[in-house]
Amino acid sequence: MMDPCSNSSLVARLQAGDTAAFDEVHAEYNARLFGFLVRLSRRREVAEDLLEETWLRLVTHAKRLRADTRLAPWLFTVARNLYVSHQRSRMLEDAHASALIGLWPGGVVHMSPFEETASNEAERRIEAALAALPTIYREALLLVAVEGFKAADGAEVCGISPEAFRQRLSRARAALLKRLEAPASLKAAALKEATT
Amino acid sequence: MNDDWTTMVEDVLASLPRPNPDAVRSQRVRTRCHKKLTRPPRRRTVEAAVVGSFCAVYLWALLLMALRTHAL
Repeated sequence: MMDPCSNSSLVARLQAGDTAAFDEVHAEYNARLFGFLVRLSRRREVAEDLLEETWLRLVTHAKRLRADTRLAPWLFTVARNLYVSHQRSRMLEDAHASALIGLWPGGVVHMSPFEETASNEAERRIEAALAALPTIYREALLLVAVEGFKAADGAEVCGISPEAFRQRLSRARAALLKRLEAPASLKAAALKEATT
Repeated sequence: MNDDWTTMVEDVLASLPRPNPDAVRSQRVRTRCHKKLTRPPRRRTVEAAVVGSFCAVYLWALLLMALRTHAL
């Protein structure tokens, strides 16, 4: 995570329209944001679109950033909110489509692209279990366990109180471990995926 | 639940491979952001004047109509 001093200097430079400052922020967070979005959305093309929109939001709001803005939580909050908006519009489309076709009324479990490429067995199983978790649990784990956010920052990104976030995180960990104890369910999810 | 198992899961989560976005697209986005960042702020004075004029005309017409209705 970026230290507060370089963070505030970057914010000031961004406000002044400094492209080198943008490049520094981009280099630091581009892959991290993409990893977060791709594991959240479980679709590479969606993650690419949301990542682009996140950067455009940063430059659009650069001049209006507060001096004490912390870039990491700010960027992840924007990325998360964009994903939530995308998900809402997709749910409307899915509800419409499932009403027409009469198939898969709930959310379909999709394998993340990483499940197929993860080099070792433990990673592959954890990616699969992570992908099968409900979004609110997945985002909590991604922010804290993968991205190294503190619980308070994770709460800020998710727009909930730190206490509620800690509770959500604890449930997310339990749900992940429970899924990892039952590989048969993963096989069933993979089979379901293969038949769709 | 086994503590070693939990720790192992946490360790694997923390060291999951970081996926990379498409390099060409990332470069395109960066260029687009540079342009947006260095673009001078749009002047809104003309738009404000046009909207203001329309509002003034509308309010004036409204006032005339009210006066006519009440036959003053």
